[in-house]
Amino acid sequence: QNRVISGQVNAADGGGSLPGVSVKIKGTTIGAITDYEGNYKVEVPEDATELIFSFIGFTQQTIQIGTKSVINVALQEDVEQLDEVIVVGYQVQKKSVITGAIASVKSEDITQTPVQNAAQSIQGRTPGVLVAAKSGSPGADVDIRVRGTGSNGHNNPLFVVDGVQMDDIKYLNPSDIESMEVLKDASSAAIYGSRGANGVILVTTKQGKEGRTTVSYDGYYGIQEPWRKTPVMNAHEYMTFHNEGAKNGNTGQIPFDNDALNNIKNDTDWQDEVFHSSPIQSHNVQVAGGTDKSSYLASVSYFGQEGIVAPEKSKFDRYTVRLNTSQKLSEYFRMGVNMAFSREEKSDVGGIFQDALLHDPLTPVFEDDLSIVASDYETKIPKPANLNGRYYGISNRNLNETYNPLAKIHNANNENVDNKFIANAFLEITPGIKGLKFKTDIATTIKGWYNRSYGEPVYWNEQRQDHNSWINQASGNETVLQWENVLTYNKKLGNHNLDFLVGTTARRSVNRGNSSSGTNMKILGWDYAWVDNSAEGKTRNSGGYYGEHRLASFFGKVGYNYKEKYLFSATGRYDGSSNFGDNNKFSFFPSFQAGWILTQEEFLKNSDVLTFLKLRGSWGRVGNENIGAFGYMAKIESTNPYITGRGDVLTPGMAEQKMSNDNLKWETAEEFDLGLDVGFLNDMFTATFDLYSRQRKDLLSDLKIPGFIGLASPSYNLGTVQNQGVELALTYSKRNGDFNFDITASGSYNDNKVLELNNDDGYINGEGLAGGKGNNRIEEGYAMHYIYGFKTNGIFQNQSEVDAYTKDGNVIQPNAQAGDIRYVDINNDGKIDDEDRTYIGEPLHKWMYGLNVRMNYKNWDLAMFWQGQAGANIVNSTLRMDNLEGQNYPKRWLNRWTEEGSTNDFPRFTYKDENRNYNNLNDMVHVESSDYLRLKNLQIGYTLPQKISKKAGMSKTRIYVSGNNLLTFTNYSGLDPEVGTQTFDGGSYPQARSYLLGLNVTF
Amino acid sequence: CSNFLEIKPTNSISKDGFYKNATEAHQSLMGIYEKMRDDAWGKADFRALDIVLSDDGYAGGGNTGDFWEFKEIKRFQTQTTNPAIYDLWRINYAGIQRANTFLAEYDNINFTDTEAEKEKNYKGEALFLRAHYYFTLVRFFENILLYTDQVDGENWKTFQQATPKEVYAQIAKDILEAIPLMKETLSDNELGRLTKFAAEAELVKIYMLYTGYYNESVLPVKDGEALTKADIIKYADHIINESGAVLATNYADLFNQNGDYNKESLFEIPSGSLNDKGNIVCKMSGPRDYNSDILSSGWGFGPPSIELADAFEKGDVRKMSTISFAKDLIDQKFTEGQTGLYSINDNFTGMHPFKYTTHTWNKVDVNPDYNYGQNYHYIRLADILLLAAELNLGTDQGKAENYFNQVRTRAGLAAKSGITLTDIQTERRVELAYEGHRYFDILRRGLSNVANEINVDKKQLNDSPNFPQSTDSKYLNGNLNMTGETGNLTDYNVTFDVAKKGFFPIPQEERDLFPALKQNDGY
Repeated sequence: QNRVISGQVNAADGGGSLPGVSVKIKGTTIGAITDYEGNYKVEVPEDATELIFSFIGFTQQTIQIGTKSVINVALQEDVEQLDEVIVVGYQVQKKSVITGAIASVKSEDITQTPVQNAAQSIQGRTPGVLVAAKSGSPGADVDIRVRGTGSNGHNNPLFVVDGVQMDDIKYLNPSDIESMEVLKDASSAAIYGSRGANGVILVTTKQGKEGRTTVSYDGYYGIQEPWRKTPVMNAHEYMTFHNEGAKNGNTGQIPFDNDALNNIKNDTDWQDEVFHSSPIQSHNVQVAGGTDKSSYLASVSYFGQEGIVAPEKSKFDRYTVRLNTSQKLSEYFRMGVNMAFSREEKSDVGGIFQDALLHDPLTPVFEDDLSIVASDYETKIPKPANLNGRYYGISNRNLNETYNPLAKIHNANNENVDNKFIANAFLEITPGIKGLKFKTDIATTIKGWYNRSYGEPVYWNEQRQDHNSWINQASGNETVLQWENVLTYNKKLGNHNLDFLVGTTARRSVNRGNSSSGTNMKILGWDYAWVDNSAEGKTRNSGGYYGEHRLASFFGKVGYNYKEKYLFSATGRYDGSSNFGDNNKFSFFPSFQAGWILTQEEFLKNSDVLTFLKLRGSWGRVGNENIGAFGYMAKIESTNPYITGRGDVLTPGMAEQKMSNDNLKWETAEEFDLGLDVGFLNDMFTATFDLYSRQRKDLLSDLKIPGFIGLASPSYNLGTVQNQGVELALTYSKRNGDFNFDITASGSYNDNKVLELNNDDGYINGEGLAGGKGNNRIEEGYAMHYIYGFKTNGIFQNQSEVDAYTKDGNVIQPNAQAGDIRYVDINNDGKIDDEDRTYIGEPLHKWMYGLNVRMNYKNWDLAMFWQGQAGANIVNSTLRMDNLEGQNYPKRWLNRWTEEGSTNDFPRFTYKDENRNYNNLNDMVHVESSDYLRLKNLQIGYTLPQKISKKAGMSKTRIYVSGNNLLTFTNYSGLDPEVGTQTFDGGSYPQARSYLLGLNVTF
Repeated sequence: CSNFLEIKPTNSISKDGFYKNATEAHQSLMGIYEKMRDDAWGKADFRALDIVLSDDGYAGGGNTGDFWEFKEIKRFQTQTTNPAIYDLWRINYAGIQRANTFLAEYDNINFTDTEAEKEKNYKGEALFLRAHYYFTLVRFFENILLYTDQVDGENWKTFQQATPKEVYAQIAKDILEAIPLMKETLSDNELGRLTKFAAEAELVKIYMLYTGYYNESVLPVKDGEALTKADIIKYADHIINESGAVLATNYADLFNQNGDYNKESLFEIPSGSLNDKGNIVCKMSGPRDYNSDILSSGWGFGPPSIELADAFEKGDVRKMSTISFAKDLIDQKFTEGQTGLYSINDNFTGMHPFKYTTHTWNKVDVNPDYNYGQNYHYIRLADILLLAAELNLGTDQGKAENYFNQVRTRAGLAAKSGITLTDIQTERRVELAYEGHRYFDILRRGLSNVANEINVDKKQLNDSPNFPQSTDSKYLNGNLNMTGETGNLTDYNVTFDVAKKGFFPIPQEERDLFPALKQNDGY
């Protein structure tokens, strides 16, 4: 005789009713799911003894049925942090038994801050991982460095989304992500072999869960504004400053007389003109559900962000659709498909910040004086930029390539679109042997992209004109196919747990594309900006390309633990890449890990204070094969064509042009990691500590060869770089009563050093100061990329100090005057020249830290996230030395030397820079600290009481307000200290401050 | 699985799979030719270097820092790290490397029976191009590495500097081998390639420079008999009588719309008004911020010296084709009340070069706008006529005067008799100014004479009765008179450094990477 048992399931501690909880009769497949009020009804047979209540995120409960007909249950939230399950390469593992350095970020962190790229949510939450947007421009790429810069080439980690290898995850809707795991140490990443050297980020998207169908909406709308302006001189300051420069430069002419100084017609603040407040928004609808046999999750989302500069021309929109399903076919087979489509649309205004900072304040935004327009602007060929006949002001201050920024925005026209379809389908076989599982997975990525940019003829200023309109149009597609097979087997023999894994991957990617360009449009205007409208003939160009890349891999893992107390594992991957020649096609990447959970030992088992303690160590080798194809091959390539015949016929030429290196191979990294995971007081306090040392070998660069060989330098493996550091994360959680909170503080220190550089010079020079001396450099014994320039030692306060600065009786700086920089004669040869350049700072921060606070009191919740970096410099290189006599200057320059004793920190201003105060990259004028601390996010939310939600048909409703980049502490005088990993800041797009109003609703 | 990983490049071909047929032979021949018009954005341009090395002009440019590579060269204070000389060095060696590889692989190429003529021609052209590149290197750097094998692995580590005599002997050998293989005439669509007359013409120039500079009477030939003056006269006569080249009726036609492949041209280096294919010396030479029907805006490079302007006799039509005067440029554009019609360049002399410049007729609508499609007549018949006159001077005076006067009368001047070497030298200067010959014409008179011609020690600006050309206020730019020299006196002065023997240094980068290289004297 069957009977009916009913009841309600609630979350413990007054958490309200739980919909979607699975209620099962033990030993059967009979069960039910709670409805949206947490109620269930289940028919139980006579012989039923127990009901099992299970729900993700809560501890499972088993209740004796006995004679009860009503069973109400309160499920405890699963707070056992260390029992979390973590995704590792090709597997999931209990967090407690993990022996590598793996950091995990969960969905609530990922969606806390409004980010355009999900990868940004790792920032400040995973010690040792640097995430920096290359700029604040909507849709800008992000730089990610796992444990420092390892390579002089490719440095971004590999992303693996649901098993599919990807180069970036900008296409992902952050709300679709369940978790992200960063495999930081080489031994954890070694299972990804030749693509693991920069770390691996595993992304798992959400799946439908067994239970009632839920529909949810997450969204926000916000306003962004610049977090600050860079202070620059106003019109009066500008004029007096230039008068001073002219006077000091003995030009014989003073640019601004009293009349000009007393009658200021325009005092344009260009930053006020270019900055706007602009909207940011995100909307996401998700439907998920499932039974014990099948599950599904579907979502659609939109993300839109407009720039804080030229919102109409600087924007990013992303649309995504996702469907994840899984179906149990029989006892032995399960299959599933994950599919996602995304469309990204982006446009930007390019580099206008330099113009906004440098343009003189005397020029008006628009020239509205009709007599000037008629006599001057109207006569120009071509026409100056204008908005419906209203001309943008043109400076008469000889600004060369520095233009009216609004005119430049007006003439910036471009669009970039990416359409991406990503799908993988798997079949899982569990052939009835306990612990044995086989999975085969076929994945494809199809990406189509196009872009277009256009410019009109413009008279910019007296020095520069664009005489012809032009158009560039390009499109292409990329197809990736990946096939992976993995066999796993777990076996428990008494206290011995064994697991085995073997697998193969084959991956092929193909790129094709076309580009075309033209000039002299027949019809002007963005709407007509297609190559078809450009003049026919020799100024119309086109190109097309094809590229391919293939990888083949075999990998395996053996794991062993004794009573979950002593843990060991070893992995190996054998990888082949099409990027290499026969001598180095394949390489092997091994790793070893060991752990010891001390709290499982008798002597600690009963400690009330120390509830968890694990020691772990690992070693591994990973590779980087992303170094370009065919560097190994001696090949004949097309040369610049020769010209024959009448009428400039281009006749193709072919020649060997680059020396080959048939021993070229991938970069490898080897790393030791020592870690400690601790939990106190029932894991109320937890801490994770790591110490690592990584050596990246066979860095790739060009080997310099003499010019008389007549060939370009070959690619060579010629260096080793070392990153050593420590990482610490501390968490304090309280989860009971009305007031709950988690506080996580994390910090890391990384020391980077080039150990070996085998080219003849012993260094590799990078980007330099435009028009000046000094650059980025890689050199043995220094951090990879350091700033190579001149060291200063104060300012000469008077001529006798200049004369007294001697070596063997000779004046060291004969061109210097009072007010000029005293340079350090590094090589002690009695003169200041190129040989005196030295280390004057490095661009990558040594220290990173973050503080994440999350708390709730009854229905209120609050989250706060601070992030900061320290120990780095940046070259503030916005100024243009060729515009010395015309450009505007930052207010910082007002602290210049003016007379004896005025300052020892900044040189005088002169048009004649004979001492090279500004043209020598130096630590006084150019190099600044780029340290900062930022309140990245502050969020306050309120969850409606269930009674109210339910009346509206909703199971949960939360509204929140959120502020981003609310506070920034920095000494940097440029637009923003967060400028990616670059050394030179030539005026980058600053991060926005934003205020959002958001809503989460679940039905 | 290994097969899965074997992929081939799509825009290049493995070297093993190349050099198989006539088409590939033609493509690699064009690859050798292409280095001839590679000028490294003007820095390695033959004409530009000649302007600053010789007494015909200055470096100019926007300000004292502009074209600094050329300014060092102008003062004979070339640093071993000067990028212009390194570009000149590596571009010519790239041509040599390509020719060496081509010639080494030549026997693998399968020409069909109907392609026998091509088989001959291509080889001849490659041999001559190698000689041409070596000639450029040896006359600028003197002590150069000489190699004729293709680069293979690290065999380059065995390459060595040869004596100038060895280099010239190799050059002569290659040219003598090339001449019988090369074509006599080019069809219209082959223009831009070189004929045996180009090879003979360069051989004449090589002989003149070698025997003049080194004070020798014969030009050595590797594995052969040295070439005598009589041999060279024969080649010169052969060019004059058989090549089909004739003097252009109007001198101006050589440098206007009709200039490209003018019948007078024997050795022409083509350029096209296409990105990266243009003649950037044109853009460099134009006046700054000036635009009219005559000239368009350029960078103010190569302002002519007053000495050059004064070298033209009255009535010489060549003057107006060689130099454009600021006075005329302003007159062309001037409307009442305007001042400062265009910008002063550094070493502004009131003049601009007018042969290879920003001719408005030649302005094209391509970006970037420095690609002027004006060909360079590297060797033209007038050059050979004057060299032939010099060769016959005193021995066959009638022939010498005949050749000489053909050139002179074309310029609208009266024929001369009883001509001397000085007459020929002056004639060469005004006939060939800005065409890349002046400096080596001076050098081949012998080192002891060079300073006399080259040195400038001004006591005042405009030290010529012809300058400034006017003092009318309309020619003022600020307080500077644009019809004459402006700037600092000291910026004009030049002192030739005899210790350097007229050559550039071996580039520092090369010696750093290959320490076996010996530096030239004086550096």
